[in-house]
Amino acid sequence: MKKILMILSVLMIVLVACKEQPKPEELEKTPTMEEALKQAQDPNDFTQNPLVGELVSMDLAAQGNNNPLSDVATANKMVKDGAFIVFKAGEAYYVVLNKNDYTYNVEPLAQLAGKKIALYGMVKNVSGVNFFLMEKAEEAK
Amino acid sequence: MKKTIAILSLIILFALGINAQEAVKKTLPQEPAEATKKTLTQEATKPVAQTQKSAKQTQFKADVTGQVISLSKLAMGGIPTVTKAEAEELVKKGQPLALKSNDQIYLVYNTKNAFDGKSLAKYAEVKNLGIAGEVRYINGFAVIFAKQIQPVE
Repeated sequence: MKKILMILSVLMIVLVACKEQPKPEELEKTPTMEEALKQAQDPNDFTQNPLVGELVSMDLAAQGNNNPLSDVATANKMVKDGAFIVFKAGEAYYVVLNKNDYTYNVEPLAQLAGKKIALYGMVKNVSGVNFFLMEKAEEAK
Repeated sequence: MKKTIAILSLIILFALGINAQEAVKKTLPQEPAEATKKTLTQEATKPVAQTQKSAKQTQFKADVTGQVISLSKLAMGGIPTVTKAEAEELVKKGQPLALKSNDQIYLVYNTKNAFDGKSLAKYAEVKNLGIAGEVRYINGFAVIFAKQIQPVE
């Protein structure tokens, strides 16, 4: 009889323990050193270290030519004709806007066509569109 | 002693019952989303007259519907839609317009493969602008090559 009582008591304890066990997502997260470093280095912040890339015309890309703009004259003509120019860095493409007033102004960038361009500013993604809020642009060293 | 065992057994059965109930709740399918509910009710209450569209409207089949937006306003994080006057002013200044459909942004190109934000200006403020054309994803951007643009009901 004592044995049965013992077994029943153990079963009850197990049941209570199972019910009160916190869910994994409820467990408090303790930030590791790696996470803390990641937070400190904002991946969207290019105010100190620039994002390096090239200019690509979306109009040419629509025609199947995804090569970066190779000369200033062509880039200027495309800007004048109202082509949509974006900035390519690695595999990502950005719509470049002025950081101060959020205007699209690629004319100064067109002067750097054919060169590796270093953009300083911040990256912002809105509704799946990558924006680069530019503070400064120069030829990459 | 027998009484004690009986009470303990009852408690265990009760606990098991609660656990089983919770498990059933978790596995039950969730209620349909609000959007689905709305469309279902809308379809059910749609008057017959509404479905009888004019010949012109039935010919036009929009591949994408949405509202004209400014990319600059979108980046600012506010409401990206623009008025007709704003849109015309933006086009004059060479600022790009696009189409926002749900949460997808479309760059609008004409059939000559040229960026055609200008064409959108006159449709600013249209709540449901339809564009018929091919949708392609180029360099991470959704691009629609517009064959026809017109407001839809």
